[in-house]
Amino acid sequence: MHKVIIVGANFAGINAARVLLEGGCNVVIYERQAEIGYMGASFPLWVMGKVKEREQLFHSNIVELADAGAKVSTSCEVLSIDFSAKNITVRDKFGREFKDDYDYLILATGSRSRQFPVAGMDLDGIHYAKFFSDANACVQRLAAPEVKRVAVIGGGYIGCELAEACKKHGKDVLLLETDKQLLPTHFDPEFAGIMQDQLELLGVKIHFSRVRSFVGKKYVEQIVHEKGVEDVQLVLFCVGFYPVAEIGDELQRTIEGSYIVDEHQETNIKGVFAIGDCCANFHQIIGKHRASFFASNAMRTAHIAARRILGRDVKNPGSQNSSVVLIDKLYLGSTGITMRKAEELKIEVGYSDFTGKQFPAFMAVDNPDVKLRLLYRLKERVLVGVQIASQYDISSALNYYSLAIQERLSIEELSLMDLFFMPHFNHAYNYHMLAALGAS
Amino acid sequence: MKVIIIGLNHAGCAAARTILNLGGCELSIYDRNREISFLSCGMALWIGGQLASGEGLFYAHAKDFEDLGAKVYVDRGIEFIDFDKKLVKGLQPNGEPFYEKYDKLILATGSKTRPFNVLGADLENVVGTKFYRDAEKAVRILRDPEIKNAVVVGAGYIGTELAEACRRLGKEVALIDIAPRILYTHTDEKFSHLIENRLLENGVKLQMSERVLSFEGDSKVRSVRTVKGEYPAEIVFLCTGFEPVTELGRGVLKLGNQGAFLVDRKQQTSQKDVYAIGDCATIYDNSINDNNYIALASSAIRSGIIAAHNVLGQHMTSLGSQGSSGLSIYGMRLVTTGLSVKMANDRGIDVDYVDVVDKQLPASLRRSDNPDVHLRLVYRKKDRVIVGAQMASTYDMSGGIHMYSLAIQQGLTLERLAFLDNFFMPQIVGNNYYGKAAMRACTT
Repeated sequence: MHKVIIVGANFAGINAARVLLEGGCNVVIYERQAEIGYMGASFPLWVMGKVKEREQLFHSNIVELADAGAKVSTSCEVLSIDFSAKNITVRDKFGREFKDDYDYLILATGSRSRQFPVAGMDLDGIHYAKFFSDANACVQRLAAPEVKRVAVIGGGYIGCELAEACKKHGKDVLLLETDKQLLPTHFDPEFAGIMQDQLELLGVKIHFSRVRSFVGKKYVEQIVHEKGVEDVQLVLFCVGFYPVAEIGDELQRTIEGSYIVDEHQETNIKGVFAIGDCCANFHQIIGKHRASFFASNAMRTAHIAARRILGRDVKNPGSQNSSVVLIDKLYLGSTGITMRKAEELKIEVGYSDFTGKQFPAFMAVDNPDVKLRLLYRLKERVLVGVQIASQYDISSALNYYSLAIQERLSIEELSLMDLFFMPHFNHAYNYHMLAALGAS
Repeated sequence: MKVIIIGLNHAGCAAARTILNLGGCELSIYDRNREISFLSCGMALWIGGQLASGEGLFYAHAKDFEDLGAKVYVDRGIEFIDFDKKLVKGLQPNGEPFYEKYDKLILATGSKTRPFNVLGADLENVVGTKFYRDAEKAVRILRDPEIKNAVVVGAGYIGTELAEACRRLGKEVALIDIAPRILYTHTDEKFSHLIENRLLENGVKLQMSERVLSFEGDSKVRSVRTVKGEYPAEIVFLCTGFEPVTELGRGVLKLGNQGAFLVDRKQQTSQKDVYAIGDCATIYDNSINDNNYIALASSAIRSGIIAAHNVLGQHMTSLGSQGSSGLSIYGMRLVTTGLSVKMANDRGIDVDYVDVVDKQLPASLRRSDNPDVHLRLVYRKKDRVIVGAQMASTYDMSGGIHMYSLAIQQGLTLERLAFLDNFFMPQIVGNNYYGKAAMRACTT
């Protein structure tokens, strides 16, 4: 029976543990935080009151894993790895240091919030949106009656979601983004504009401006940014993540500091795997190793590494960074690259936009618009990116496009794909087909 | 160049529109019916009173094509084609014959309800389920409050929908099929059961494994007699399937599955310069790697677009079909693509399958409104290539079946699909049931 040590117990670590336990491995887990299995993506739901109990924020717990046969130790720091002796050095919550041997090692050390060195960062009432402890402190502070105005820093997915959540909680909300648009990593301006309209409709105030400093005595009282000074009583930082990949000097890393892995999630040292936020997988379109901070990626990479250890020949087909966000009733989805990314990568792309209704006009149902953009390489005419927006839940179709990018489908092939038609669901001439035909 | 299209429904409309948009030829279009582009898949909605009128079920009119420069003759059938002389012959309204020459011909002659030869099939109020006039007649009959009992013969997609439609109007409804369960041909039992339950909960009687012996009545139908009993019926719907209309090619054009015009990936028939599209033609089926007969509006439209390009000398080839389809009965959505286990067994294809039942949203959120999603993946045992998928839920997860349709088209293995980048967002989708299904199949 293999002994596998997993460092880190969130989406990646826990999913790997489950597969390995089912496969009969001896699994030992060390986690730095006091909790395991916190589902960070449910933080906005908690703020909005859609999630009421603490347990609902967790997709797993120590008891579940222990019952399945894992040995789980929380509040433990893994200090170093001895690759030749195949052991790690751990410091537990009492400060005791000890060594533990492994046959296989899985690093699932995750990511941290990007730090932001501005004056006044040490004031109370300034929070990140990463760990349960962050969310817990933030939710408690939001309950204080003197907190009337919240500044959310960063207009990415989490920033937009938290801006909505704080607004629905009853606060005035200011959303700051340094770029010229919201969601700059995943959407072109035309789609980011839909998000902006949606948030403004909810009453969120948006500034495309950079934070200079925070002012206050004990708690934060004011935010100073490029375009003004405003009173705020709570600040939420959502300016992205960076990989936590400190242990293991011999392991190769990318410039951003992620562990580099092969298609089996194995690092340059045999028997040592890295999964989830701490590793960089080969990105098909970008053509380089890139970190991805999505839970979906964490889960996939976990399954791949665990199955590899169990002797199965599974490979990571690469990531398209497929993602969908829901703000109020607006679904915004993205997979592959944006126009801006294409320009950065010097990939010549064309795009085809199509806006249509979800259902035929004769259907007596709410019939929201669906806006779709397909991006394709001009030369090979291969699909490289898709953005979609609607007040209807069109998200399941994003998986179709994710596969189309993975399989390098051409825009012409997309226009002739067998997509079913039924008035309860869609149009005979549906937007997928028409967007693709529009590119021809 | 002169192009003639015979038949102006989904396939014909798609071909005509594409040809006219691309331009560069003369186009004449003939259809034996007055109504064109009727979405028969919306028929049940209209009959069930979910649409105010049937008008919305048309998306094109003869004038649309005339405005783009075509000559359109509706209500005018073609009687004969001389493939050697490249000539079509028909009758004018005054009974005089007319002739027109073509350089390229597109046959879009469609399909018709399969004849149902039992005693009394010609009684009044025995209604077909193909044309606008069928639907119109049904709506008119059902408006009469004296009509209290409806029988639907044939429990495929349209039959199942019509059973719901009649029940929505408050009629007593019996759905009869010779098969042991509804949706027998295309769907596995686990999934047809979900739909059956919806029908039963809403008071539709299911009379399965019953052969219809006769329709009884004097001039109007009064009841349906089967091997097991007699069911009162003031209206009967015939939903016994469709067959291709191919009389015009008889003796000349090669026929394929179910007697449909055999076509290649460019929609070309065995005769040079003659194309066939839509329900009258075969289609390449990627789930069996062979030609098949699959009558679906979605495929018809694509075949029309493909034929139009090739007629104009622009290369375009069909990717084939997986027979992807959808159905929604009392809010239960069923979407399928490729082969069911039953279809595979019938064809002697050795398959295995994996089932997943999952919640749409993460269970940890403990939401009361968290619908189940049922998923079955069917794959060939020998090479683990995915050949079919079925999904059912009250939630609209239908985009997922597009993904499986693509997977089957590409001949992907379970392994290739198991680690696809499927998004996760707890407010929208919890467990990645797609990945879960493929991964589970990988370990078996």
